[in-house]
Amino acid sequence: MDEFTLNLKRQIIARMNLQGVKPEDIVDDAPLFGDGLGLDSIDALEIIVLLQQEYGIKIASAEEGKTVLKSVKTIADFIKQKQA
Amino acid sequence: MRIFINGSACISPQPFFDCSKPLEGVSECVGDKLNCVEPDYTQLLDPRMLRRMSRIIKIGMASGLSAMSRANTSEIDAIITGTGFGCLEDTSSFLGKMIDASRAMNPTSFIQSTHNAIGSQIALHLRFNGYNNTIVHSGFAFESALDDALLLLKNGEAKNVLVGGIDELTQDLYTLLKRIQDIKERSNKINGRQASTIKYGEGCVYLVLSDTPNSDSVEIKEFNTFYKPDQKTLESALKSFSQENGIVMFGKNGDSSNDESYSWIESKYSNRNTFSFKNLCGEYPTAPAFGLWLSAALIKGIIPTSIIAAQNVNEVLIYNCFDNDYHSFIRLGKC
Amino acid sequence: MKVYVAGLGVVSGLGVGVKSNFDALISKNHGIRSLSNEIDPFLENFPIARLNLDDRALSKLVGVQTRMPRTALLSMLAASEALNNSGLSAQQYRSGFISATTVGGMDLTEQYFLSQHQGGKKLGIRNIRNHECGRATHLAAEYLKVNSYVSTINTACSSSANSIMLGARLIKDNRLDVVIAGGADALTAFTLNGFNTLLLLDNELNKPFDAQRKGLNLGEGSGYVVLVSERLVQSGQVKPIAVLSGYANTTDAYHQTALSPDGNGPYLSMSGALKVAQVNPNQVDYINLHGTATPNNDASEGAAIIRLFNEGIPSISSTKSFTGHTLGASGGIEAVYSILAINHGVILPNLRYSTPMTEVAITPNAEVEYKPVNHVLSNSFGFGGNCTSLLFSKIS
Repeated sequence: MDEFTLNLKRQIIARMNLQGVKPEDIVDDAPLFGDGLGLDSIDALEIIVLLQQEYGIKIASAEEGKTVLKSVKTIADFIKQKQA
Repeated sequence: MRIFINGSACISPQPFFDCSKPLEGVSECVGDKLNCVEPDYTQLLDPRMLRRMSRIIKIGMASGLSAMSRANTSEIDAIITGTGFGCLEDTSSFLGKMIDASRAMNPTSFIQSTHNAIGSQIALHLRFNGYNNTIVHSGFAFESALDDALLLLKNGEAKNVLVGGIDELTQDLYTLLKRIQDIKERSNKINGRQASTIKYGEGCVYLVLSDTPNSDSVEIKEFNTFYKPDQKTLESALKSFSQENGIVMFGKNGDSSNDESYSWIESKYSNRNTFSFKNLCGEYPTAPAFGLWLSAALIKGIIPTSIIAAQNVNEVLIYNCFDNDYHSFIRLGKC
Repeated sequence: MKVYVAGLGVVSGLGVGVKSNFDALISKNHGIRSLSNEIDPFLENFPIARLNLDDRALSKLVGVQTRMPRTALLSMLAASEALNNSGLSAQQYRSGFISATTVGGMDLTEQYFLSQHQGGKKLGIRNIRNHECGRATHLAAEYLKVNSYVSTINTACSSSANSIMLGARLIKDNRLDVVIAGGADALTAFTLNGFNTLLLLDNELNKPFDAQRKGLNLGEGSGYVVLVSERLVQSGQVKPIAVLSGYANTTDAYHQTALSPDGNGPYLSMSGALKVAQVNPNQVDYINLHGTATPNNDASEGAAIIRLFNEGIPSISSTKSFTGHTLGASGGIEAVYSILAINHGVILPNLRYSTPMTEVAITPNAEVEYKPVNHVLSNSFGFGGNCTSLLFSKIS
């Protein structure tokens, strides 16, 4: 796992207070919402806030959030794309 | 119509949550900041739900769901919650982040800062679609919630009601309350009153009230509230209370100007039959819920005499006065 | 036993008083004319509906000298209008005041903490003494000289509808003869930022029940009705202007901040209110929608209406297109508007509607329409799934 993805996973675990979950437990392209990690719409908002506060990236609406927040991989790609 | 307390759960500065074994407690709490003795929530609530819950919501959920299981009921018709301060930790957290230069506010804190978050979470967990109310009238929030519950039962609109009172004491609140009290003490001193000895507390009590008793019930025989009553009205509330079999429980809190409001009723009862409850739970808006729980527990005979020196209690009259304007009388008795 | 309404009082972005509000409603003149940076300089471009009176001017209008939370001032203004309009004195009968607020004294609390954090003049600690929701009510109750019962409800956006419901139940229980019931909420940086983190705000004027709706505009205000007992009306001491014939409080229990897609909670509260009133759906002439203009609320509320009314959907509109979403005050303000609709025989318009929602086939009234209005349902749905509906009826 590269450093960037590891760091992102740590941030998600901390912010969502996912006790007992380690970065290596989260598969990069596994769905974050519904089944899988079981995050919900409030967690989605929290990740949107995380992107703004940690990476300076603004997501304007929940709709835009839906495509970006599918998995750790889609989030990581989105951040790298915005920062390029 | 007769109203019964069929189940209850108390999370408070006393270790009174687990009633499956004989209760112990601390009759005189050291210090003036009394925080709750909390249960192991992982035994009571789903860990996936727990991760997002603030402390006050955990306390409320644990107490509410436990009250229902102890009443042996999964069917309730209403959830009514009284809280004076609401969800302070989250309010404080969101406010703090808003004021800070980074403005790192997060949605969870805002959602959980709303006063009705506790009652809503219980309803969400139970997939409950019925009547759900949250009353926030400061030091009378619990009595008002109880009033709402009794009204539903009396009118046959509900058979089982989950009603509770909850407030939390954060470090910030404690600091602010002390500063405000310091200012009040100056006025107390000028007016020749003794220095106050308030303890600040927190807690949650939920009760299941029903029109039908179970084997463990305590009966609410009478409930009266008054707003700015005259003396005659106040005294009329005492008529049906029998001192012979009963004890009186006061909501005195150690604030000399507040406790003056109790002198009229104290003079009517000999000291050996009167007790206070706020030395055990501290002062907070919905502390009367603790007083009610304690009184019911006394009637059930589960409070050790080292905590309250009373035995074979058949009846309790609980009297609380808030802000000199709001008065409540609750008379509990054996079924 | 019937519960009547005998007085109305309202303050909103449309102005102070029933007349200003009604005139604005029928001339399609909305009150969402300020921007959020007036409350919080960091929130630049969200339209808000603000009353055009600062705290000092409000205090003067109300006639109080000490500094108190804006919510308390708004409350006093509208509640006293309602009481005056009823012609009753709170001291003469067993009177109660049941109010609602989500904000309480947060306006002064946030100013206090901001002043502690920043340089410059610091506000005294006295300013947070009235932070609790109950304090605003207590101050207003003293102002109104109520004598028997005072309480405060906070169930988020359904708060003041619940106040009105509780007031009615206490009158039916013969505990009280007169109850001033409703709610108030001032705009605060706290709530503006809160809704912003939830991505619920529209940076343009709201479009309730429209396919292009993006979210809500926040507003402030207060709305109260004076409820009176049938006995009091029969004694000839008061002239009623409407009947509160039905009410219901239910829980959606789907999500903390969103309603179920099929609008289960709203369906239950609307059908519950009709059941209490013993009124059939086909007798309802107008629904004053909760209609916040969030994608979720309007779709859910619309679904619930279709489920309850089937083919016979009454006229519907959201007056939040005029006032913004006034949170704890909305149930009270919209109760006033519902009764005005009855007594003036008018369906109030839903502004900025042009395209039907895609989720449900339901169309609000875009225009003012004069017709007999006998029964009005007023909906208020809050965070935590708290759903309350009130049914007001014409006096026959």
